[in-house]
Amino acid sequence: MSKYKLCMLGAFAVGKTSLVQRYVHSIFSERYQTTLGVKIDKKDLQLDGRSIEFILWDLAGEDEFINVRSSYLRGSAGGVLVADGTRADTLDIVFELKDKLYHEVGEVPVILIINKSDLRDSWNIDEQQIESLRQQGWQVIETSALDSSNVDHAFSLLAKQLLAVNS
Amino acid sequence: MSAYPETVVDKILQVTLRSNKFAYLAIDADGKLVSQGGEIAAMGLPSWKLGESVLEQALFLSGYLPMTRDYEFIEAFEAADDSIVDIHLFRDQQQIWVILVDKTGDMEWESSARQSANELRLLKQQVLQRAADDDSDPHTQFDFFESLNMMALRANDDGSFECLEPVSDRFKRLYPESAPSSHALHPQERFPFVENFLVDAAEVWADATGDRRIRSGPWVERDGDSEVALEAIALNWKGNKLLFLEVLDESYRLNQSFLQIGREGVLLNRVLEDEVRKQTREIRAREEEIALRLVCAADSRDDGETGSHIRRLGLYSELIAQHLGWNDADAEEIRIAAPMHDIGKIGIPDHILKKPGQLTDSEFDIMKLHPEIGARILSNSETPLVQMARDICLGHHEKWDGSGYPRGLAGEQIPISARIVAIVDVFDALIHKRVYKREMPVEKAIDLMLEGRGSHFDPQLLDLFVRLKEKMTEIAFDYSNPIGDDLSRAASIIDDIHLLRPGD
Repeated sequence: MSKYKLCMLGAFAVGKTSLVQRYVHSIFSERYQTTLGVKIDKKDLQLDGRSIEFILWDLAGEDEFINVRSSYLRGSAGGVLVADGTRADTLDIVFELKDKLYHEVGEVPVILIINKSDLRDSWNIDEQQIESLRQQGWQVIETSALDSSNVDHAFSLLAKQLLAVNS
Repeated sequence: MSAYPETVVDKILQVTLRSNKFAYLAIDADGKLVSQGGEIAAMGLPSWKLGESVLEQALFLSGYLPMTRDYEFIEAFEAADDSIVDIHLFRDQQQIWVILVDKTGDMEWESSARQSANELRLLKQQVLQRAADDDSDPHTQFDFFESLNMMALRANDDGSFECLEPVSDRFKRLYPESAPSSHALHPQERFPFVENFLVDAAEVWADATGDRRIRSGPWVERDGDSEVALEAIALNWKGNKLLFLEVLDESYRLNQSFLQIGREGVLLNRVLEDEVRKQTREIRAREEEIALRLVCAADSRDDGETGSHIRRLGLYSELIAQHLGWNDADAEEIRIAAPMHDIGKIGIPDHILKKPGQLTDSEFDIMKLHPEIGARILSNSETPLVQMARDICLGHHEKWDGSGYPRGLAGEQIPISARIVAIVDVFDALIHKRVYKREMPVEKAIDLMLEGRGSHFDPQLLDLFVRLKEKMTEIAFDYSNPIGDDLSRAASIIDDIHLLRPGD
């Protein structure tokens, strides 16, 4: 079995913990509970006949109160960068955290999740911005931890990248 | 006291009230007391009066003022009376909130617990040593770490760990391999977080100076259906590589509550700010539309002016304002105010305003009254937007050298908003076709305007305008009819009203 440490990175309240809860335990809670430190979870999956174990490091969201400790990124095989579609400024934090991740572990595979697609009417990240990010090489997935759309797909895409890089 | 910090303070107090004494102060940026509450006297704080500076007696504050972040936390501050307090500083737009939570009891407990732990470890070592010497049973039972909910391990050279004490039931559930505590353990295999932390721990253990320790920060593991918060502590104690795993429980929940309160406050603030911004935008758009429709209606009597001309004037002016470094609100204001520059023409008789040929001197004297008529229409307003529109009305025919009208102001006596509009009004008139003249190419128009540099126009503003000529040209041709057919229709309705009016 191949084991990969993945770091969930993003601003606070973008839905990192909810995505992990949805992906690993198939549950969702409406109540926002902030993460302090790191939450560790595991997920086994089969992809292209190979067994994979993701060790998901759900890191406390970055903001003026908390900075992500670089040591937590150590050994990451990939990154799940999460922004909130209803808060455009969370994209800026994603870019900073990607740099931080790359600085710590090099250019590992990453995906950019823009979460809360169930609230699309309130999004202030528009299609043009998303298209522009894709053109810059970002793998952008629009998800909803609430209704589970695209959540498994996002992690599968990252798994494929990881297998390709590590094959 | 604003609504936001009250909410934050209330929530913090709800949390802290459960177990600790607390007090709170609100101070301004200079450290002057705005309000206070909680157990001020019981915590030994001075009886400050409102308006008094607290900096002298709360010296720790001087290191944090002015605050560079919205939140600061001073952990376990030792006050003069030997009490220990945690200090939380929150900043909002009006003041800084200082929340003091008495932790003296906690710290005394922690200190005595850790001292006991050290003593027990020493005792354990002695017992083990004696056991080795006596060849008797080394498994002496201690339950101290169980009561602390802490697991104590010593690192072996092969990467395994020896459990120093029997582990609590909770740890046994979390880490079943630890149950028989006699064999070598590999907590790094059970806990990926520990594996990561051991890199930092190795540095501490390798430090020959000894007696160093580091904490990992909290992490959360699943414990069945619930979650448990843990922290790892690496300690180099007289050459022993010690690793403690501690269940955090209440302290984690307390810190999480603080963080949650802070973040919910930030989120709430953002929602409110977004709502205010949205509503302000809507009000602005409404104001702008009303202003443009009215101005368009007024200008409809003047065949030389068009709805798109006044719209462009606003946009040119806003562009210059932005490049002058005006803030967004002021730049927006000139965009709305500039179109009103000729509103005074409403008071000029039709036979002069609509005269196809050249005006006589006396007619021109009447025409020159329009800035003052406009200024009178817009006078006595306390709204900055209308005040700016008045300045523009009154000053847009003034010239830099003082030869303009109506007041013959010169240089910077002329309000800057009017100097801006003077430039863009001429530019737009030159490059667009009117019933009485052909349009002029942009380059030619600018050359012509440069002849008026320092005489007609503010030289620096004109230079800036010339630097922006490409963007100006874009506006000139992109906004040929930006306010749409509705305005044209409005203008035509106004014309109809004029036609129907008796005596006209």
